[in-house]
Amino acid sequence: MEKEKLSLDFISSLFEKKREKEIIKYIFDELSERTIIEELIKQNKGEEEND
Amino acid sequence: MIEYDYTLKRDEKDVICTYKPNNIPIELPNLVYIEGPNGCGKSTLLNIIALACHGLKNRQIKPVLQEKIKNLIDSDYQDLSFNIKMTDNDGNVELLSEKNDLKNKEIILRDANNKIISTEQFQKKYNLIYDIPENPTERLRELISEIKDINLYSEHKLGLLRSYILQIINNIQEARDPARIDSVKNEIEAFNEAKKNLIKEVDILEERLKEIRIFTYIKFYVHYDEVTRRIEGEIREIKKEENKKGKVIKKISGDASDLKKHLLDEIKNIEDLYHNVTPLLQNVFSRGKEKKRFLLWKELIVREEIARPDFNQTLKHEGSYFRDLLEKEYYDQQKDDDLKEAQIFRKIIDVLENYSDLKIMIPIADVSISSFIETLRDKLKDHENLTAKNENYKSVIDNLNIILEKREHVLNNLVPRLSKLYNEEADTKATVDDNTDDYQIERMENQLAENKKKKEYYKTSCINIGVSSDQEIKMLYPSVVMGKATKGLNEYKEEHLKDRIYDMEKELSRSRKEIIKHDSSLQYLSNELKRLERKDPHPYQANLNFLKDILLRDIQIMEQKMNIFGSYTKQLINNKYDSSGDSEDRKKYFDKVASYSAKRVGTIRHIENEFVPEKIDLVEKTIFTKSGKEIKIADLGTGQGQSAYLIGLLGADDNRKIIALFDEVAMMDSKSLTPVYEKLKELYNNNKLLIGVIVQKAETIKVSSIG
Repeated sequence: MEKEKLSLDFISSLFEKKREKEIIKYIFDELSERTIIEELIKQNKGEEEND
Repeated sequence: MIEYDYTLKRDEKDVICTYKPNNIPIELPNLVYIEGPNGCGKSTLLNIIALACHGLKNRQIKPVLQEKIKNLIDSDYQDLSFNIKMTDNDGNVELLSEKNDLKNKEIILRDANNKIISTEQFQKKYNLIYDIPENPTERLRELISEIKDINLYSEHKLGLLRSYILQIINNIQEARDPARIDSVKNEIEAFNEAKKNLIKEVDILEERLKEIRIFTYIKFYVHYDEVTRRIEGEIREIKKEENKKGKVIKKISGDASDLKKHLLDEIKNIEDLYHNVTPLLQNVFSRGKEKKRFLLWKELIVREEIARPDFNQTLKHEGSYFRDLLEKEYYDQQKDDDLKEAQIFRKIIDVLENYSDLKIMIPIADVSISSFIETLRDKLKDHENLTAKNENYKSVIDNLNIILEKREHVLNNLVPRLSKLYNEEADTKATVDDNTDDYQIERMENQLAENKKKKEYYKTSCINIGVSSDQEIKMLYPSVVMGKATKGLNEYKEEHLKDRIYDMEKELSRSRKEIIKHDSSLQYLSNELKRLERKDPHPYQANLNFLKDILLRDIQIMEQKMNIFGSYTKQLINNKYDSSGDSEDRKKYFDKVASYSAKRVGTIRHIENEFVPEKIDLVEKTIFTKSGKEIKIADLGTGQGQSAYLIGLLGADDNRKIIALFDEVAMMDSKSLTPVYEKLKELYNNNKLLIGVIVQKAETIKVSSIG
């Protein structure tokens, strides 16, 4: 468990959806709310384009 | 290396004592194990190191230890000054802390560059672990309180994220919104269209109202003018007859006088009814094959038919003839579906009007009672002529029947009775003056006054619509009343026409108010459009639906879940499990906590061996090892439990450098301490630990380096 954060893994394991896990990761990476939203919008756009 | 010094002055009431580190060396290795009796200063050393490292603001430190640290600096019976220097394994200074003034509470902590480090900066870089592992079994459980903190942190951050999204949504909604602009434009268009239709409707209504007003006012002015003239003529005739008789007043009996007055009343009633039905009969029969018979009717004189019934029978025969024709037409109309519909609507409206104030919705139609009445009224308008015509026919039929009945009554009953009275009582019982002419005149004058009043009303109404002279009225009469344009209006009786005028005025007023309302809405929408168009678009405008309908909802669900997980964690901490509403989710959560705890502890020592736990199940109070062994937590040697706990604390993986201070590891033997030493050494060698100090109660002072 050298690189992984135990607590992140623990909280992340409580959620199933990909977006939920990403949100938890961003929170534990201590990203600002603004950056988290930007990232999530970017991802959603990508997903929509792929669809 | 740890280099330190301190002065602690304590007021012990009988004497003020000064304590200095006389028993324990003031230079210590980074990893050190200190044994000693009570009061030798080992715990004071740990408290001062913790105080120097912002320990008072560290939430992870137990309250009992916090209290001890606080006591050093914040009590009125002792004062402290100290300085501490901590160097790394290469001998470089890493942390320097000092409190020079015994009284001043200021503590300064500096880094290698001699730069002051704030609590936040310190906590970002260093993990101060200061603990007393008293009860190993219970302490294992305290690892779970870490989970509580993680849960709370996650929930808090999710809450911040939710607030931020709501703020963005709000900003987007306040920013330039093309959809909202389009919607306002569409609303403006719809209001303009509706206003245009209303104006058109008002124009048509005004035109129609003008027609009906001019028709009604001229028709009934002429009508009451004619009636007035007729009554005036009749009065003149009676007065002429009176004059012919001279001043001689005939004496008749009281009975004869009463009967004669009654007879004259009845004849007058027949005449009134005759004049009432004649214009209506004229509408129906003045043209076509019945024209000649109608002319006969129109020219008859009621009093002549009563005076000479053998010779004049027009009232009887033509009255009966027209009644039969009208009855046939009336019953044919009754079969008309439109008329039936109109009659049913009228009955429903009559019933519902009693309840129009109630806020009850009509099922299926899903409208209020008052709206439903309005709809029915609109429908009723389509059949208005039909209803009026039918009601008119009924009224003429009824009046003709009364005329015929009264004619029979007068001729077969009243006239013979009066003749008989005259013959039998002429000379014997005649006691009163025959004043029946005066009686007739009085009655007719009353009628005349009423007619004049009505005539005056219509005259004023004509003036109000711009028709001011009698000559003009008479000139307009043929085209307005008899003309084709107003043909439909002849079906209406006077009161119906007045009602229609009233209803149309009401309708006009309502429509005009509606236009004003539309104007005000248009004004508001126009301003709103200008306001919206002035705004700048929000960069996330296109993502509004994603933020509002997807992301916000996802985060709210996550928050709810975290809240539920928090309640499960609380059950673990309190060792009280609420079995009601036991769910799969809770079992899964406890399972994940068991795995997390196992990873946090890393290895445990049991009897002679070390084990790697797979899960530490705090509900079942069992440790499941990777090698398949199951160890009950209660069976763990106390020292082994402490060892597992301390290793667990040291296992926190957050890239911060650890400063580890462990007090009174009393129950741990050398076997149990070895894994802790190993862990400290491993962390120190990997540059993940700055200092590690373990103190233990003993009879004599002994300081040894770990490793």
